[in-house]
Amino acid sequence: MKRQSYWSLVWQQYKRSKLALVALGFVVVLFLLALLAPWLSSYSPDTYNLDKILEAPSIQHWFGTDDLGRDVLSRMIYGSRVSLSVGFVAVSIYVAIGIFLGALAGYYGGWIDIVISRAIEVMLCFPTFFLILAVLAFVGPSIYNIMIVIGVTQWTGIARLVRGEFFRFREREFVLSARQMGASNLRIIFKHILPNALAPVLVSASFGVAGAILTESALSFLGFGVPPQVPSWGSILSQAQSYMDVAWWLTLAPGFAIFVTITAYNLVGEGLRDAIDPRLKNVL
Amino acid sequence: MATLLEVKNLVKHYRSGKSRVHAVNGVSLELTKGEVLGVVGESGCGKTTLGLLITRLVKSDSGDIVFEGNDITHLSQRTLRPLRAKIQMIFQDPYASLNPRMRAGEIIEEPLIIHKRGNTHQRHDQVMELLDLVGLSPNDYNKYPHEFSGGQRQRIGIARAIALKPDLIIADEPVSALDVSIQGEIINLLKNLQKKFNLTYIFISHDLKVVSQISDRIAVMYLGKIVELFPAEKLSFARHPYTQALLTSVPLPDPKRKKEYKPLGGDVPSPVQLPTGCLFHPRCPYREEVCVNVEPQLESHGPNDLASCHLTHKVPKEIPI
Repeated sequence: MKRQSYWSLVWQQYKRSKLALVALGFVVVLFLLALLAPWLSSYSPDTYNLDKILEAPSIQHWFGTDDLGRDVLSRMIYGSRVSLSVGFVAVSIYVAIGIFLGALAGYYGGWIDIVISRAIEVMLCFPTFFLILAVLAFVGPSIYNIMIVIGVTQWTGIARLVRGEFFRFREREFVLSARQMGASNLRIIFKHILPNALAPVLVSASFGVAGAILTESALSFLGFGVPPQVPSWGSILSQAQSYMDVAWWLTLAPGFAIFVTITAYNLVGEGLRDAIDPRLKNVL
Repeated sequence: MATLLEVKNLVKHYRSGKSRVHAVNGVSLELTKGEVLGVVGESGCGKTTLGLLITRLVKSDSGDIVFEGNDITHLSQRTLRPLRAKIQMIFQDPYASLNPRMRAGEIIEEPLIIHKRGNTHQRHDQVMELLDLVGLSPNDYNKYPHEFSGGQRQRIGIARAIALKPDLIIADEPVSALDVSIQGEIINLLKNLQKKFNLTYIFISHDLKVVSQISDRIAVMYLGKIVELFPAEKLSFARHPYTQALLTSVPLPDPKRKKEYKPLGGDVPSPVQLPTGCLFHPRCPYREEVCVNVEPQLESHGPNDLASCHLTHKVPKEIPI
């Protein structure tokens, strides 16, 4: 018999979907872009060239130049850093919060669960996007503030998911068996329940990255995001749309980048979800 | 022989809304070291709850659990933790009782880690020894539970349970999820380990046949109470009509032998609304007036032989098995 861990089985299932593989490949390419931005872009993203403003795509400037003559391709490449880092940091923050609170509520139940569940409901009452806008209006727009604000407002979904998984697993026989052996609560939570609850969290997180990237773009588009001189897909799109009538092509690159990236993350999430559920259920 | 475990008048009622489910309703028993006590009963008779109560995984409503002379009924979970090394459990479902994300070796090693036995190297050797002891190969160390068959998984569960050389092992239906052919192997394994390490078992099962193969004494439970407790070799002389009904329901392996088979009428009454008098009277073929009104107590009918029935003079003396 072959030796297969759970995650290697997930990978086998994941590979079956071509679309999910392509999406994953795209995500990897994006990462490389962001990582290697200084070497990949032939122009500095901030260098003005007032002789060449609002130029159409050409060999020198694949995506054209913006109203200050900056190379849009270079700005796009650097912008991917903002989008990806906001996506990952914000999601990491709220996954951490969500796992912590969800695990507490689901494992201990009782009044702890009541308090956390009510807190979740209160959070859910706010339309998050406007909550984020309001908070940013106070603390001022910066990439770090965006990360933190998304992180502390979006944890409810993960918390509910983890709470449910903990409820599901805490009466399972292998957990009973661990308790019976004398395992501490911390050991049961981290060694026995969490590894089993992680798969759906990962699925939700990959959808979450898409959501966070979109939120950042929307905020930057509205001017509440990163400062204008910092390239981000949202801010590039925002600046480009002021020149729609003279240089419509400028909106194409950031628009498509956002669209394709969001789609890719969602496809990765869907691929993961399909790989984990429900076919593996018969194997495990 | 020293008494290992003494359970006195243990009660557990589950409340749901206004009704109470009388899961365990006053169970007393004693267990000496090296003994195998079988607990039989239909599903819902409280035998699993009894096991969970003794391990303190479920809190009892009243009664005492005395283990090695110490009353453990009211110990906090924290003070109980070191004691847990001495009582281990084997679970019914070998699919659910092993963490799917842990390798077999890690699963067996875990109790040793929890109770800080030896260093990494010693523990590894011990796990290898345990694998061998339960009939698994050293290659199985790195496999995940889903790579094993049901019987093999139960062997992992057994290895985990004996890792700490516990004084008491509670086996809750350890073979009922397995094929009949595998059942025999696992029973034999449990038997051999018991002899080798002088282990004490509480062996819970719904199957009288299985229980009689491994037990020294058998306790028959009905609706949360022990109705009869007798030495296993006296199985065919069981006195309680309920035990006799269980006995006659065991199929004979010999097609030429015919036996009188009188299936019990009716179902187990609801544990929410217990019958008056003798719990078994609604289904008992011998019932009399007294059974409806007076609850019988466990009475001695010989050495180690207790039964709670008003009419032991009336029921057949022996059931052929």
